[in-house]
Amino acid sequence: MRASPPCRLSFFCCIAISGLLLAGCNRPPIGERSGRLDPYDTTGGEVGSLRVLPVALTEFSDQVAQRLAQDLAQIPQIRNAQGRVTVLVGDIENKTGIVSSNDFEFVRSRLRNELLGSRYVTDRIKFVARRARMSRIAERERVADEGYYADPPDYDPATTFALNGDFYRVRRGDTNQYYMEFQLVHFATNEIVFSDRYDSKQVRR
Amino acid sequence: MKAACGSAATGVLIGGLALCLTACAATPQRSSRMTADDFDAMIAAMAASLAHSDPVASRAADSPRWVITIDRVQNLSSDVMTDAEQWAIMARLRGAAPIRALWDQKNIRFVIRAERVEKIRRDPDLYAFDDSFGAERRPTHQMSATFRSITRATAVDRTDLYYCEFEILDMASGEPVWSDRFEYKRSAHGHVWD
Amino acid sequence: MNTDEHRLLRRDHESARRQSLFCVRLVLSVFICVGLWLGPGCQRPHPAPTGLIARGQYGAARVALRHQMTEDRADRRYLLDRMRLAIITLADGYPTAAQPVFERVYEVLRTQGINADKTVESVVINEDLKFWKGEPFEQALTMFYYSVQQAMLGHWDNARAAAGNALFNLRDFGDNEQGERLDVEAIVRRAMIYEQARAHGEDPDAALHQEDYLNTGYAVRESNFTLGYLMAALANQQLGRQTEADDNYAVVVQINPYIEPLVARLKSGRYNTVLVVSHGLGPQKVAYGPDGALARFDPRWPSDDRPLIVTVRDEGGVLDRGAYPLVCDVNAMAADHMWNNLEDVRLAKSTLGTTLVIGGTVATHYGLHRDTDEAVYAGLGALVAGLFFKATAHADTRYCDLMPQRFYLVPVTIDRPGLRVDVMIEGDPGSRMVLAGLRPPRRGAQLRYVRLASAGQAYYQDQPPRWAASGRIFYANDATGPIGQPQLPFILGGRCVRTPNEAVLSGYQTAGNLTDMTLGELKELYRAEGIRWDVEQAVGGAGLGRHVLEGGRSMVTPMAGTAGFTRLFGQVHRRYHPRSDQVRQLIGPTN
Repeated sequence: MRASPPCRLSFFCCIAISGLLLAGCNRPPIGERSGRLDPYDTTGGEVGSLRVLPVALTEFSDQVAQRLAQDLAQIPQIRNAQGRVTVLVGDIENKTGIVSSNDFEFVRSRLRNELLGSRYVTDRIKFVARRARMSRIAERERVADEGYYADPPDYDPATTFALNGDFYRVRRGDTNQYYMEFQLVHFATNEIVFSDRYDSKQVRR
Repeated sequence: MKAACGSAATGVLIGGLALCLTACAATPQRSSRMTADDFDAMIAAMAASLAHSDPVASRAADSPRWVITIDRVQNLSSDVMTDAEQWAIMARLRGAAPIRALWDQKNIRFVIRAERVEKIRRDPDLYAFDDSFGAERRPTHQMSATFRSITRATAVDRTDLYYCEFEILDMASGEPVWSDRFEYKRSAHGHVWD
Repeated sequence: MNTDEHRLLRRDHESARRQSLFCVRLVLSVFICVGLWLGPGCQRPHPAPTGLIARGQYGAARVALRHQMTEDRADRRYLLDRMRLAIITLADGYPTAAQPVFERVYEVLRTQGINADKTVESVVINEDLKFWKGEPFEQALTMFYYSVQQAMLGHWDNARAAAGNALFNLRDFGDNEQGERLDVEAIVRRAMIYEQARAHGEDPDAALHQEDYLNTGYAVRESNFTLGYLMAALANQQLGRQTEADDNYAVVVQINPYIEPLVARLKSGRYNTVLVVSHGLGPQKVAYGPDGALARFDPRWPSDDRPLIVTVRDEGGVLDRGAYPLVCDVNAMAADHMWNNLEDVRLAKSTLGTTLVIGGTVATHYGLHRDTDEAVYAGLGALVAGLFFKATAHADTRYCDLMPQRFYLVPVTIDRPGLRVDVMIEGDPGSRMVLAGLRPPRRGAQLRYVRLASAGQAYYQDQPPRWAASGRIFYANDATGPIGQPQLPFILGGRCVRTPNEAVLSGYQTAGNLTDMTLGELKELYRAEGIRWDVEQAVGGAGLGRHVLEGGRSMVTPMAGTAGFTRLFGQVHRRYHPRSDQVRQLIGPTN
């Protein structure tokens, strides 16, 4: 018996539905690989989260690094020094009470990276790693003979400084104000040769 | 009756399609993990950055030799990377074409890592490799990388901002001679448990 | 109307009835076909070898699970198989072998919303249609296990990352009027009340654009997974990130002040070895309620808060003894709605709705515009559809049946080789295990996962297996080196299962054995027996098999300080039965 057109249609519909359903069921569970997003973009997930927006931290570290680099280059002890001065990046402490230590490390790393790449400072300043890190590397690489890696006493005391800082936050209502205070101190005498603060305001909507 | 049967069939078709479309609709991004493509882009960018950096550009074939040892990526991100991946990224950067071109042009050499030297020395099957193996190994610089991330999530969305920092450190002075970063975000939609 | 007209009408009527019947048959056929297609999908996962696991026979259980495992990434039990295998491989002391399995598991768990668009399909067809991803508590525990595996390998950075992924946000539907946690049934009731209120009081168009109670009735809150925070803290501490470690420790104390002394000990850093100890079998998922549409987790192993008693000894006596509190009760976790995906609630609600909608639509279509015969057939079709949905409305009761019931975390100091660590749940001698072979770590801290033999009450009547409590090492192995016995390979009648190399062969020869044999010849003997000692080779392809001491062909040594190591080397096994002529000839008449 020949089926009527509507019934043939029904038959094909069912086949199509079944095929599609099966195709849907067999989809592999692994997520698609998609494009990267710009670090300065803000996503729905970030807005929905109650925590500090990553872009605020990114922009803040950009601004602080840029201004700090300019300021450091203008400090007389650096500007007038013969050759490059040595700066050990010391403690930068998180005193915000809201920015997690992980987020804070991001800001600190980014800030350091920006400073290292800034032409304002690289011509005049030599940033050096901390002794603990140097010691670990030297030990691992089996080059830990005494005197191999530089210690603060190896640097010229007249042109060696330490850069310390603190990261603060003030929150009132929906407004968070972040600021970083930096101090450049003479390594041997601890005399403060430079101090300034850099702030940024974020309003949460 | 034909019309009835046809409308029933149409109904079935529409219903079926609706079911399938809910299942197969344009799927949003489902994972915010780092991908192999990210690593490719990262290595290409970092290799170019290093090759064109001031400290490298100012060197010549007769400059004092840089002997660089590499360390695996330190993973402080939210994504798990296998040990092999952590080494592979550094090894691929070391072997990238722009970096290989520097070997003679800029008098830059790489040495195998210290743990490997020790492993070979201790391998009971490689008894010819005693302490004389690598005895003259004198790295002057170390190339390393640290990956970090910031994660933000709601019930159905997650975004990871990845910050991948690369650095070459002068092991004698402690000065980073080159440093650069590769940063990006990945976002995923959907309940993490679903 | 004349006779011809009557005849024509009757013919049309008959034709309409035939076609109507055809449509009903077609609908029935579709459901039957779909049911047949789903047949394979409805099959339950292979039952876990819980008997083997109860006896601590993780090697045999691991091999059994490996053989059952599907390789099809689209298979709905793909993740479940791997989750089980990864957990048991870790319990057996093989973190390296577990690595590729955990990688697959991790990749799937990090993929969000795999089943996001399948609720409708699962309602119309079957809940089993969904890819099994486990309940949130199973996912968190699996991420925790991945963290443990990475820590066992000394990869604390990855351990930190994996622990962080175990701490995902949760949905909290809150408490009832008595301040008790809402259970699943209460959430169903609330969802239905919400829907009815909306149906009666709200503008239909506006209601269409709103989410339902299950999507809006909860608050997103941060995880309360103490074990995950502890692991994140430990990992950060080992990475020298004390600030982040302290942040995590602070959360732990906030969630569970009872374990503050443990946190204080961990924070002090006065340890170089951390034991993650688990015991028992976690709860089982059962269907209940109308048509088994709802699911809950029933304990298989009772909950209590007995501490773990840990004693570190040397030959001279007790060096350290302490009681460590329970850190995670999986029964309690599974019972909290925050740790369930509530998909059964959604399914139950949607099934009811879908059945009513389809029944109503068909009845309207045929009943209002056709005569009674067609309405009967249409009603029949709707009834079948309703029955079909009713039959398929059961909750998905697949679950990871190898999760333990409880976890402890124990910091100890192993300052020299030869110490034995005795662990036992207070008042349960059947859970006792004595860990031998632990050595001080080269730097930082080391971590070991110890899964105690589970079903002590049922299998051992309050006595642990002999191997668990022996505290001895009867075989020379790659982790702890030679033993006092004359050195000879196990396959040749000795008690050495070390990787063949120059140093090991030299040891045999110094003892007066195999004096004419070269290293190449020794390796050839192993090859002739099909025995492999390289974990990478053994893991590839068929996976890591049974150890040669247990009748297998792997000579990969499990990590010392694990249940697998204790089982393999803490007892004397039967003599080796060679497979090759070369070994038979060498053993000669002694075999």
